[in-house]
Amino acid sequence: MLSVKALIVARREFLALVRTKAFVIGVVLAPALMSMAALLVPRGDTPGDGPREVALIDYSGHLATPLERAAAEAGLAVSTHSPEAFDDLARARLDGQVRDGSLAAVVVIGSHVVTGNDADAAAEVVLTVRNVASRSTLWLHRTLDDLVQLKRLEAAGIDSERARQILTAVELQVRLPESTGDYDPNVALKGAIAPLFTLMLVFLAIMSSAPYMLHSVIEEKQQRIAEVLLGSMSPFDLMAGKLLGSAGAGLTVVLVYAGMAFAGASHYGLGAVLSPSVLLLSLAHVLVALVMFGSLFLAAGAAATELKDAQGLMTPLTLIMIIPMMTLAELLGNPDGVLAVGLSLFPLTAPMILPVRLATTSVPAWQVVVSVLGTLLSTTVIVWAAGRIFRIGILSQGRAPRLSELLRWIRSS
Amino acid sequence: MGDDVRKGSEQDGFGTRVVTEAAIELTGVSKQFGSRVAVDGLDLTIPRGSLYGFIGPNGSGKTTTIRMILRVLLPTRGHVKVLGTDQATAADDRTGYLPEERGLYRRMSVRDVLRFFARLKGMRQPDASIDRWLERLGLRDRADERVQNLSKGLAQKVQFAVAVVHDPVLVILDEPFSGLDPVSSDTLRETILELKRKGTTIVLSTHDMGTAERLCDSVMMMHQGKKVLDGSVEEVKTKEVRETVRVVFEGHAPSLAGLPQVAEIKDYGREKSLVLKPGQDPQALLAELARRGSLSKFEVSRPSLHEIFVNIAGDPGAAPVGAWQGASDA
Repeated sequence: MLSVKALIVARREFLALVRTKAFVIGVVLAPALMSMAALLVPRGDTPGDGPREVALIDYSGHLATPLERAAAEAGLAVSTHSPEAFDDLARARLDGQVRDGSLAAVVVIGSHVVTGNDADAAAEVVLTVRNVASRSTLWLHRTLDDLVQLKRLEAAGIDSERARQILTAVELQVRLPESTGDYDPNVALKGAIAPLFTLMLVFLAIMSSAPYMLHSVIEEKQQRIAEVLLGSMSPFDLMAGKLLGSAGAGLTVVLVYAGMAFAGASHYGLGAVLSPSVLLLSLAHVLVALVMFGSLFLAAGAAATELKDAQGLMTPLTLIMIIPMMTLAELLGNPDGVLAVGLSLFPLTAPMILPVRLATTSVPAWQVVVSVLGTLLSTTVIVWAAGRIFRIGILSQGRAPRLSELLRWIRSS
Repeated sequence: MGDDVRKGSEQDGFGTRVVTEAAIELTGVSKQFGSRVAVDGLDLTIPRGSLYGFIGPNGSGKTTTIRMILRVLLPTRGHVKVLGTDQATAADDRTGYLPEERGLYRRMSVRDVLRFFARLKGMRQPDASIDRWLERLGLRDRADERVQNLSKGLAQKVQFAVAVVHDPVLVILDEPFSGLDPVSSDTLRETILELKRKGTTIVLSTHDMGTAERLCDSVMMMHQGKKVLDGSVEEVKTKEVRETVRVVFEGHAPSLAGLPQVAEIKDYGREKSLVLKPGQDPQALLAELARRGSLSKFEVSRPSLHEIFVNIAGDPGAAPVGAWQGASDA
């Protein structure tokens, strides 16, 4: 049971944290900037900003007209050059224009691209660009691909209307085994967004509160505030208060982001994607992660005297937190793979990974039980051990303790 | 120390004054950090209502002793009893503490810091007390300023206010005059004496022997983790049998080498302090000094606490307890 003194400390910690510039930036400015960035990003099927002219040398004689038409619709101009006049001098001049930014690209289409066979023909489109990843390059790549395929079908005797039908992309209707009634177009989004949502919330909650705790404890040690505090309360109450205060701040961040995500999803008619059950599941994992990582950060702050010592202690933890973000594609693509199963059973990553697996695959019951029980048990042990380290470390000065000393602190009565 | 000073009085819940035990009792208290013994077998009794000085060089064990009294540290051996209770795990709301180094949140305002610590000490409505102390210490105009914007002296006053804002029965002050200008020092000294007059027990840890000598009823000196002196200031000074003579010569001071009556000479510039060998007659020294030069000052005195302190702390082989034992352990 938390004492009144722990609650007084929790209140101070919460207010001190939410009044920091970093917190305000994290809660208010970062989402605002993200929204602005999302609005400013142009649609994916346009060539974007930059040079508006493309030089075309078409040896095949099939692609100039359709490319000019498609480019005009996308806001680009195509200047067609005669293949006969395209000598080394002309090539150098056009390359120079690409280099100085007056041309978006030089497209050279070989004579057998449409009518030829095999790989020789496929390799006969040469694109000279300054930026291989620019939107105009990607647009040209995609458009040329479509046009060449269309012209090949026409050359094979298929009329253009039929050829377009053949090349129409397949529209998949994804459903889950438990889906009932009409087709739900959001089901794919649910499968991808819900686990990402939880993962991001857990990560955000920890990153917006735990590092502050580290600084807070080190400040209390360096400024000798800890001595005055411990003259008024037990180390356990002090740690519990700090944990509660910072967890409250972490939850505030989570609620702000979750609220914004929900509002955003509802605005675009995707409110159902973030159902109450998804929100509750996320919140539960966030709480466990906040207590577990908060305790670890508090213990690290108490054990260290200087911030750099604490950062050394925290590096392995930070790396562990980053693993799910780094391996996200593999986790989503192969939720029953060794990596996903292992990370969902490992207590420090389970709060982030288990929700991902629950949303993307049928997790065996034993794995859910082992993951949940293991996480709860580990959290209890971590809080207990962190309390022991905190009790001794908060008054220690001088060099940072070695691992053997930390273990001795944990064992000491 | 006799029973008459071991006991004090405190009002019980019905407003009746009842006889109670000493404010602090340490019995055979030791504290060990790894292989290092910070405090070694300390016995100490501090009467209620007294102003008790802890003196001793750096690393002598004063701060560790204070931390054990505050229950911040548990003793390795021995028994600590504070304000009648020996619950080792419970911090006591009836105590106030001013640490040697500042212990304040730098980004909080003065008022918020005081409110936070007062509430931690169990005060539900601390604002009236906070206003009173801000006024008393001349901090009213700075109440809404952040601690980090205060000078060292002002921050020290705030730290003092933190120690007393909840009206404690026992106040422990570790170097309270550090960083204060003379005017602020006077204010703080008067405030400490006011607290004492109200019956508050005060433990004052200091390196400034002059302050300890002027303010404290009793002193305890620690050296290398052990108590080497304990008793009232007068008792401690009386126990020092060697007399000291302070002399000032007119003009250039002559050589003082080879004085048969003198055990030790301390040169303070114009003034020299000559510690006599036991049993030596100051008059014989006066005659010898007058022969060597023209004296403008010749003063026979008991050694100050400062000199006793330096004698013990400056001697790495100083024997604890026995040779310098004061009245309380006699």
